[in-house]
Amino acid sequence: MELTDTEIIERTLNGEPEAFNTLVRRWERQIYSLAFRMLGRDEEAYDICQETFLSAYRNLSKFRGDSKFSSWLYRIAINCCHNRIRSRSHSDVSLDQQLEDQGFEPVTDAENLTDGLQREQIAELVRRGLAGLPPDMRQVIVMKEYQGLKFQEIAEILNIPVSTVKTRLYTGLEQLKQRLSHLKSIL
Amino acid sequence: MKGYKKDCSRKEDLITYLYGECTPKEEKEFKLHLLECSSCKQESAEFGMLRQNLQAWNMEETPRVVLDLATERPRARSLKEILQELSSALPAWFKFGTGFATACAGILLMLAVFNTQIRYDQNGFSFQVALFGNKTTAQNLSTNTPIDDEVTRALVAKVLSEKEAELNQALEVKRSQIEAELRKQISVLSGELSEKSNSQLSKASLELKRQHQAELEKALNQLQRQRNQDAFEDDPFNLWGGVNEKVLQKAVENGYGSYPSGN
Repeated sequence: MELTDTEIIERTLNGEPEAFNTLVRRWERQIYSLAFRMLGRDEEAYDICQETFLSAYRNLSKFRGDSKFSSWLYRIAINCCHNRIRSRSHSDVSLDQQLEDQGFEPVTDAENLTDGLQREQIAELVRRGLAGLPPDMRQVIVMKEYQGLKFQEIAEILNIPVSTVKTRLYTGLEQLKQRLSHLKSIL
Repeated sequence: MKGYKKDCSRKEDLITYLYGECTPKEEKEFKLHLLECSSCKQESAEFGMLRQNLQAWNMEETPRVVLDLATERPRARSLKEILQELSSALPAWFKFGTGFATACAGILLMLAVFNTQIRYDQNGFSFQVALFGNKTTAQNLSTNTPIDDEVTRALVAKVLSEKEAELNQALEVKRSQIEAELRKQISVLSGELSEKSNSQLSKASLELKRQHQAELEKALNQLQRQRNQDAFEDDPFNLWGGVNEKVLQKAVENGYGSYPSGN
């Protein structure tokens, strides 16, 4: 029988640190996915993932069980992502902005793209489009679209009202739609 | 699109519907709304297409996270964290009450340290502070105008005169009662002495009664003299001067007040 998150936490706190690896295996994909969609870079996503689990392990005694462990973990990951975004150097941001600005125009002729290439092209544009959104809108879109979380869960993780989650999602989608309007020519 | 409007206020409902988190009733109701609202209809279609594009961004294989837990261990909760947790578990009214009581205690402690004196009397509210025992300032916080010495003296004189009048009245009443009593006893003794049957009384008894009569008359005279004097020279409450009281006491002890007339 599979242990629950709470049971694994109890074991870890009771002197079985290796039990925590079970939690890492259980949640690493979701946390990595969140970090990857928030930051857009593999290496950074992996760093954030490690940082999140390490922070969770160190502060495991602070987890009170009021919310789900996954929500607590997502909250740590989101904070780590925000810290990483803030700490990026100015030149780094400028480069990213330049890439985003360039990315809205198809690099190659859409008529000659195969289906596979089209998909890659769209994915790249989506990545750049998301990277250009404000972080508070981006995180809501990522958590809803890629993590499949309910509005209530997102509200708990971000500690904001459900209505605010919906408003941010609407506004974020609206802005992203404008940014990706060029895709219409491809699709 | 013809009739397309961007100002529909049901944006949150649209999002809820788009992500399938409506109740069956809400879903049915919003579908009816979509038939009427071209704005929401178009938004719904555009967002649907956008969501398809978002799913084009696939994630590669997730790298396996490796943590070196041998050198790490969960941190024990600090006292501050435990207190914070306890505080969050307490009801709001308790926290408010504790905070209020602490604030009151702090204020009282401060007042004590500053030797504060707060007074409320007929002169109004006064507040006095003497830091570390040195009375430095005295501030009258009365809302009335400060009462000066003249007014105070007038008030005291008025009260004294009222009390003096009351005492004079009470004194006069008491004197009248005592005078009446003395006159009555004197008349009784005079009557007994003048009776024809006084032969039955011994000579000594008659002499004694005469002496007593003289003493009573003396006391009455003294009382009348004293009435004419200022009753408030030294001690306004010493009505008898001691002498009369003794005389009266003696008379009472000798039983003259109830001396049998006749045998």
